[in-house]
Amino acid sequence: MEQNKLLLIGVGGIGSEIIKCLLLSGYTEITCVDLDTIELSNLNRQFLFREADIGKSKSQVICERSKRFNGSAKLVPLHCDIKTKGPSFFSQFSVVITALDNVGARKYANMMCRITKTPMVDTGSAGFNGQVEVFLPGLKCFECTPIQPPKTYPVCTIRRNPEKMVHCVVWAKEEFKKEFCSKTYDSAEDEQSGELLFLKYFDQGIKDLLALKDFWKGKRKPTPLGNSKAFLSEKKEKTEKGQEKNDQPQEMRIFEPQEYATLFLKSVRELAKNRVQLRRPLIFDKDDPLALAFVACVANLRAFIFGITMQSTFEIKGIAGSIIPAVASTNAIVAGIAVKEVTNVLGWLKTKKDESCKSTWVGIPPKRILLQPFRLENSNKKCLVCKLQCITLKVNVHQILVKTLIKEVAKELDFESATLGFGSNCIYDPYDEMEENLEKKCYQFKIEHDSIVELDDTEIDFNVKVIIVHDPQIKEQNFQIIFHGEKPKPTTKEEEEEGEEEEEEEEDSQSKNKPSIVENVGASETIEIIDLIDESETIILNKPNVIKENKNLNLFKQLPSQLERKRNFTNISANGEIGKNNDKIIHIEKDELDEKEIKQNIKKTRKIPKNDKKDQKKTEIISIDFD
Amino acid sequence: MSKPTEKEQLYSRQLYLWDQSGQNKIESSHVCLLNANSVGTEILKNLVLPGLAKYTLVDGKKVTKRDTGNNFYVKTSDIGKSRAKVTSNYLQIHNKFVQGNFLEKESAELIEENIEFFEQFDMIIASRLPEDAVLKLSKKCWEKDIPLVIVRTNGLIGYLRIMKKEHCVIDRKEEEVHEDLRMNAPFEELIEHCNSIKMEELDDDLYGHVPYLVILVKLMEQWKKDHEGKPPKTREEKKKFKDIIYNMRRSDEANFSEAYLNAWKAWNSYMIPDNIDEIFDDKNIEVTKESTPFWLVGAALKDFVANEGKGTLPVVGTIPDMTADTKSFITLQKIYQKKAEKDAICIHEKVKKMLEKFDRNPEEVPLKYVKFYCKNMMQVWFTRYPNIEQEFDPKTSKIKSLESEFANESNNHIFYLVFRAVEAFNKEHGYYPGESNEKVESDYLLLKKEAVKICELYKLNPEIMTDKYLKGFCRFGHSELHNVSAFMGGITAQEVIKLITEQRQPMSNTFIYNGVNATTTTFKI
Repeated sequence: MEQNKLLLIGVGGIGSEIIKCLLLSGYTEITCVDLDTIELSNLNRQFLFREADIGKSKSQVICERSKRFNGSAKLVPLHCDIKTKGPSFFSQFSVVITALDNVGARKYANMMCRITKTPMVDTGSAGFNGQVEVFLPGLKCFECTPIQPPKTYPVCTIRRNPEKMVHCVVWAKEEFKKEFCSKTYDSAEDEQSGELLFLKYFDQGIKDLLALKDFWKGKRKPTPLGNSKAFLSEKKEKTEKGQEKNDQPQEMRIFEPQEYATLFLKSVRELAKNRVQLRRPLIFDKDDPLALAFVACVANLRAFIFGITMQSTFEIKGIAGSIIPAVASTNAIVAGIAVKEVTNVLGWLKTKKDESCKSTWVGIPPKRILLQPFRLENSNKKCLVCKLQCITLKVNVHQILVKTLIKEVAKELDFESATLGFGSNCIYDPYDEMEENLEKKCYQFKIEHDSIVELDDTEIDFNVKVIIVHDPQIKEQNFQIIFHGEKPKPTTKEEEEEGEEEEEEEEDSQSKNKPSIVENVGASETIEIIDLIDESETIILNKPNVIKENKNLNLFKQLPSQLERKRNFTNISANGEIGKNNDKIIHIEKDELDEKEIKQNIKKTRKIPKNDKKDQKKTEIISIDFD
Repeated sequence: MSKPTEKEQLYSRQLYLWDQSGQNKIESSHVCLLNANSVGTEILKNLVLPGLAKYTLVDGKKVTKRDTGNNFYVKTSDIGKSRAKVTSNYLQIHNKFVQGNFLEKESAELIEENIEFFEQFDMIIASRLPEDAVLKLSKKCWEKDIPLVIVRTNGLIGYLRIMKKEHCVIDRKEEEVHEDLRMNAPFEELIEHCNSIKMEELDDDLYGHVPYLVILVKLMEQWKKDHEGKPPKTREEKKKFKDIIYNMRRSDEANFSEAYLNAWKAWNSYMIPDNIDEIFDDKNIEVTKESTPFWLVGAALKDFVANEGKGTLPVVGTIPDMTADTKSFITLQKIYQKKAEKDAICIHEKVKKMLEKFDRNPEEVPLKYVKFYCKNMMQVWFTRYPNIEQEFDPKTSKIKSLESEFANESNNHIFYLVFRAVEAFNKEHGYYPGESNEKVESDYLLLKKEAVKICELYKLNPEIMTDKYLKGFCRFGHSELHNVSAFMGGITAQEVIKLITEQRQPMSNTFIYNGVNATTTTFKI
């Protein structure tokens, strides 16, 4: 343990727990990377931080604190974005542990780990759920299962026909941006602006929408509020909610629409004043009470107009800021598992046997299984990260010309002609007029030590990543190419097809294992296994007339409603997929089956883990930006 | 527009999980931890961070070198000092809102000498406490109705047991809660409203916006009139009913599609949900002078079903979104809300009468509580944890009934028995098997003896206690591995939070963590 250097990326909730577990498990060399500073809302779980640390660098504070518990440990804090670190940095470590809160940084760490063939242990948590995933070189990586893009909502739903609070919040944030974040303020509008906006948002805007007569066919129509004076003078009907939550803090309470209208007018006035004082456009920050008040009022009034249940400012803050709930206990569980996996991975480094390494899902019992360990899977043949090929190029970046770099590497790798890219920029493309770039030196494009540039064959599908190692000793146009194992070569058509075929075969065999096949048992008895939303169980239904068609699982129409009541059946969609927000929800009918019979026929078996479940957890919970 | 308070900011991330009502309960709990060892301090850390009111830490040991290797809350320079004092001081730093107390006293001695001491707590966590002391403490807890949480770790294996006489949860935070629409058992106000809508007189626009709920209630009333008061029963009848809906369409209206798809909700007979059935069937439904609000409301509900409800529960009062024009939707919403309000008041009156009958303050159970109960009717839940004495006594224990589980190698039940054997060993010999390296082999033989005795006591086949497990535990030597402590600390704190907040469903009643293959098992003993 003492010989192994570890890299811990992210020292927030899980990171704090991990570093504690690592130190007390005997690991002594740990580098901690984090670009964040400490905030008050971290302190309910990030136990190594104190109130006096607020505003300081997380990585620095954590290393200082932890040293006190193991004086001989070598802890290196790095207060920076991990994306500024290249392959030579990653290759110093035996294992990379990620405890990050975003997909982008995870993707980057994953790519670096693939390039440097470093094992990665990835962790995450959301509320009471969490996961630990082990990515060993050669096996499945972070990007082998497609990552769901952050959730976006159709513009039409947001602008015309919101159905849920989240739609109203997205709209309110948009309006905040339009109103306060782009133009500079003309103070002459001051007095009127609140009322004008009120009319625009809640009256005329809604009337304009109502003018689209065809659009509202079959839909519930919104009700415009009129002008603010008229609206405020309306008799206040106390709703049940408002009364009930009165002993709650203000942020948790739900107010009357009229109160939101008053608060709205006040917030517009204050925001306008602020902007005049600041002499710059504002930005939306969920922690700015004024900005939050505006968004909460606009969202709630819009919800009111469209007959959607209003919510407390606290809830709206959670939606607007994409806040993921977090608590110490879940992080402790995840960290405990992760550190055990780190030890397993070190074993793998010696033996290359991956049996003991497992990825684990953490759920909240008793509805879900607390721990669900999985054997590591093979890598996905279509995964671009697993497929990537790279070489190392030793050069002097201050002297070598772009022209030489392209020419020599292309020659070595049998490229026909090549384009050169660095980051998101294209440096050279033979089909573009970019000849002048060829005569420039590499460092002029900020290509430096540990940069990765990309060479693409212009004719065939062949892409190679080139890791630049800067060596000032190397003179002028000299260079040295180092292959990582085999020399990179393009994927041939046959290989590609082969891959696809295998994939299909795999899919076939998978679908055979899927519990949707019908087996014959006895003369007329048929067994049908259906995956349920209740993840921990599979139900076997044993009833001949239940099954009409197999395969496509259209048979749900025939299932007894008792089951629906008993087992939360409501979320099975027509195609048999299970999801929370499926549009096509089929309710199951009771059909000449009495309850006893059904009860007898229900057997529970253990759940078959489903891949697509994992994806859902991997994505960030909600992100609600248009762009 | 006021800035959230310091506490609101500090706890904001967890408030999304258990809201202010849960937080208030955490902030008014006094928890006692017995033994400030590795797992004990980890549990307490996970409770201090979310903001417990107060904790009292009991530990009579001095910090040893071994502690510095597995306990995060001691430093090398603390060796020789009081472990209670040292760990409490560090834990205290985590949260200034928490009041920390410690007592330098061996837990087992305290239980022996002053068991009354424990009456002051809302919850007691016994971490690696010898079995005799656990038994004695559990009797006190049972008598005073204080929840007791027992935790053990040994090497890579962890054990957790909850004991609480009765745990009632109103807000189970279920992700999916069943709707209560009453199309199959419409209440008067609903029927009246539906009757007042003359479908045939509506223009096409309004016709396409009559909520499906109204359509179905109307149709069912008509059907019952034509069929001696009975809803469609046979397949043919159901098809006929659906055909009526289909033929009522003027064009392709969405509300009629919804009615068609949801027709089963109207002909299915009304049933009391399982969770309420369980409450009605329980012995505690016969309320007494001592009954808790949970059971008083339960009894009132049962009475309501038998009388005013004519077989149905109070209306929950919320309806899901459906195709409708704003006016008719809101009218419908209000009808449900009003009925729910009326029913809740009726329940409240019943509860008040019961309280009066028992000479208790009639306002003891506020209307707010009754409303909360009625609103969450589809998920109210209770459980009972058997006491430790009952578990240990072969006459009352359920251990024998788990024999096949103990023998099954693919689950972790067997570790329960191994922990019991290890505790018996400690009682017999005054130390834990394998604690000193030289004696691992001889301890194994002694442990085997204890294991056989345990099996005999509960009439189990002694062969289920395989050498593999016994030897494994001798090798563990009662050690504490920090990451097992971290894990068990997380699990235990999570269960404690569920118990304190009275939200979600805590596990029942025994939990085993197997760190060798990262699996967990929960079962009832």
